[in-house]
Amino acid sequence: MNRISEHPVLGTFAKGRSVVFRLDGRAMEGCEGEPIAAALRAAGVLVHRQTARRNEPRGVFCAIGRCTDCVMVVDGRPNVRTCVEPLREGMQIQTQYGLGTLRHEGAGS
Amino acid sequence: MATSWDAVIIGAGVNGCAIAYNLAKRGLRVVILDKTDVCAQASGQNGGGVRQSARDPRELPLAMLSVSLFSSLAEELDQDVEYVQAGNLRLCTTSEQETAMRAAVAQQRVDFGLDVRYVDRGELEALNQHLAEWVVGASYCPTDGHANPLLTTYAFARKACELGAELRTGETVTRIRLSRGTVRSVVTDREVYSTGLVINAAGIGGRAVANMVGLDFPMTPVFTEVLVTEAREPMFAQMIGTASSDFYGHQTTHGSFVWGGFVGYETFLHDGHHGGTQRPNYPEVASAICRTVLRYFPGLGELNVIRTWGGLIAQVADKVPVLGPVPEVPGYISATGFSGHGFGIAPAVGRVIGQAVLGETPDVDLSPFTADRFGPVH
Amino acid sequence: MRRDLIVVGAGPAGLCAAIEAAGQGLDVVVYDENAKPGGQLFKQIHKFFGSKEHRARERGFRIGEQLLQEAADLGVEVVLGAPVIGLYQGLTVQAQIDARIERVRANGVILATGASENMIPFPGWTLPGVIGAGAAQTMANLHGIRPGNDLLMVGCGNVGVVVAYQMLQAGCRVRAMIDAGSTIGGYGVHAAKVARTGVPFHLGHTIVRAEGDARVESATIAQVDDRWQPVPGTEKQLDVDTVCLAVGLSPSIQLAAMAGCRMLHLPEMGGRVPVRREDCSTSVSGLYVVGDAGGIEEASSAMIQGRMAGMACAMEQGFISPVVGKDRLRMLRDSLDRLREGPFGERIRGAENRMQAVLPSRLEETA
Repeated sequence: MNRISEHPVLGTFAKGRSVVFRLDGRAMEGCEGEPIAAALRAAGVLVHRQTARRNEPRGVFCAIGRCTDCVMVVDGRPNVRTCVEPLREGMQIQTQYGLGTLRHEGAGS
Repeated sequence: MATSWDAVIIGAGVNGCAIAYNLAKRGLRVVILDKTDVCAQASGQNGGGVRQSARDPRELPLAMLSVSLFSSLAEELDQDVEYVQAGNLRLCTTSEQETAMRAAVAQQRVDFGLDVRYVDRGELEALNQHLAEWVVGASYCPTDGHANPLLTTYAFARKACELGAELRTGETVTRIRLSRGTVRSVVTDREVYSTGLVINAAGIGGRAVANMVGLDFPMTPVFTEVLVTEAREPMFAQMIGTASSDFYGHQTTHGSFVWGGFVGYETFLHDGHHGGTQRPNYPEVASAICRTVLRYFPGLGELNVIRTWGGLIAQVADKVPVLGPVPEVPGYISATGFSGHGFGIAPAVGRVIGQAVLGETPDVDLSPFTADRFGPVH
Repeated sequence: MRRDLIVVGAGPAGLCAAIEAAGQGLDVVVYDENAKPGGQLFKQIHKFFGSKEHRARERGFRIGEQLLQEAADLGVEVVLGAPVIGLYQGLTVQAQIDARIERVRANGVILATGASENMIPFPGWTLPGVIGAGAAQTMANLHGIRPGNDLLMVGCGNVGVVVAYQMLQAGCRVRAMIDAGSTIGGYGVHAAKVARTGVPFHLGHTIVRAEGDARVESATIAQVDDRWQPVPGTEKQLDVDTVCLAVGLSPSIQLAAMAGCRMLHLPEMGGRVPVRREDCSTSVSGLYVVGDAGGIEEASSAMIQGRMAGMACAMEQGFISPVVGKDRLRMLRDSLDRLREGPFGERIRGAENRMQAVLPSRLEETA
């Protein structure tokens, strides 16, 4: 467990209520409003995506929305920066393989 | 102290570099001079179209030659230039546009033997599944495509240098000296280049360079802008344009979409006081491009724009370049004024200017591009 | 719509700029891309340095709370979740708010966009578990999550030693501190605190690679020679699950560059930076750059710079007389000079001299 329960300077952290979300279909718990990446790290998940060309794993690097290494598919939407996207109850989060496809295919149909 | 050169090329854009490559390949000792850097203006800022569709009839032979050269360019330059030959669709949304497009396509087939045809909605959907319902059809030229302009320009520059050319950036040409009416040397803020041949490939600076030898032609810098989206899995490979010419673009090989477009008053945006080094920027253009693209590809609305850039194109009054030797100034050769569509024809321009410089008959007739076609300016 | 002043970035520099200008009666809006204001202040749980005038001995997050309160009291509008995506001619700012683009013009713009972390490439540097030191700080101090259990800190500058100490406070084990240089560049007090807990400092060392299949399982370090190359045979494998890179910051200059500011490459300021006068004005009329966005220093000098730009804006726009304004600017300048005493300040002054050759001071002009 990577959550800090008692910090010597900051004391306890004011976190949102505990909510359930799914990673690749598997139920997990996190705190509402914290970045998805924080909830995943607390749950021991480091691999957020596999790259398009070499199928290499990638995770968090900058944690402030700058580098886009941590993107995942969130509720069907690819390329979501999980280090800045707040966690909400019932979110469907998927490991992103490659670049991701558009959610609404075939606009003319 | 003056150094001696067979030819001095002013401007390290794609056309200047392509010309340098062709001359170096033929054994000439050339130097490319640029006041800023390779790809600093239009060559680094364009949409990458390699297109014959809807070319001005004067330019179409150059475009057709260029397409044949692009197919072996990567091999020739030892550099993948991300050339994709997957066709060009020029989208029509009204029956009036359809009628005009059918006529234009027929003309290109008859006059130039170009492989281009009109496809109706049914056939269009087989080619591209992402178009809005109001698109009724398109012209389709299967041999058109797109490439990466930065990779292409640098590939020409690198290969030219491998063949003995020199590239000098951050150096500004201040004067072209004539002797008895013939080009004798090029003077920069650093050095004097002794040469009998100067090639003006200076893009938006081309008019000022022409002025240095007492020539002028009606050309003005026009602002244009392009945007790039986040990358997604490949959706379609064609180069896209429209009958109403309101936007253009394609999906790159790495998945980003590159879209260029217009607000309609570009000619009046550039205030002319940037001296050619400072890129202007205007807030209206990117949002105009987005709105237009989404009218044709509504499904792309969720894509994030990750970058936009603006630049200046060298627009000539009749929108085709000034190309070739100018008899009244022996030793001066023009290759400027590409009016925003100079990337796709650059390999051909490099070849024909090379041929003209060497006194050979160019593969394409350059008579429609003469400097004096506008008549006396004064 | 037109505002008196738009500030981009609600960190220490931006908030101070907004407070100073609003205090003179300017109508001020601050845009920040984050969901919470304060920039990096809320990660800074250590006590600040300097003298009392520089809020020494106060912790960063407390300063952040006070600045936000002050800004609110003065009626500064802080718009969050609003990345500024463009700065166009005529001081036109475009901010993205959800799916909407807001376009606002201003008589003055102050850029306080901060900096981003540098990285160094080595085999394995893309493995999950290789993170920025700032990322470790964000995870632990903002979100209350330990970024890992066993850490290697690469870089012993200020960020390296402060973050290492904070990781210890968060309950992580710091297995080693390394730096390619031969001395510890960071604050002595933090380095000493880290050293006292038994963390080994390997100076003259670099990271050779990070190992692991889908996450960091270990890292190899080695001594470097005088050309910064690893010395064969000196490799040591460390049992770590996280590698923190504290290898410097680069100013976030994109908006200044887009606006057409004259730029200079000044390594002592962290790279390419907009050329500024001492009141933080740039070559573009009405445009100011403050804090790390103009050159890497730290929060205390960023706050003074913010105040200087806020005051200069108020003066430029006629909200305060030049006599009173220049007095205030000189006072702030003196305070900044006192903060910059010492060898680090020496480098900054060298950079300032180079910038002054391009853009002469306006403070010395007669009123």
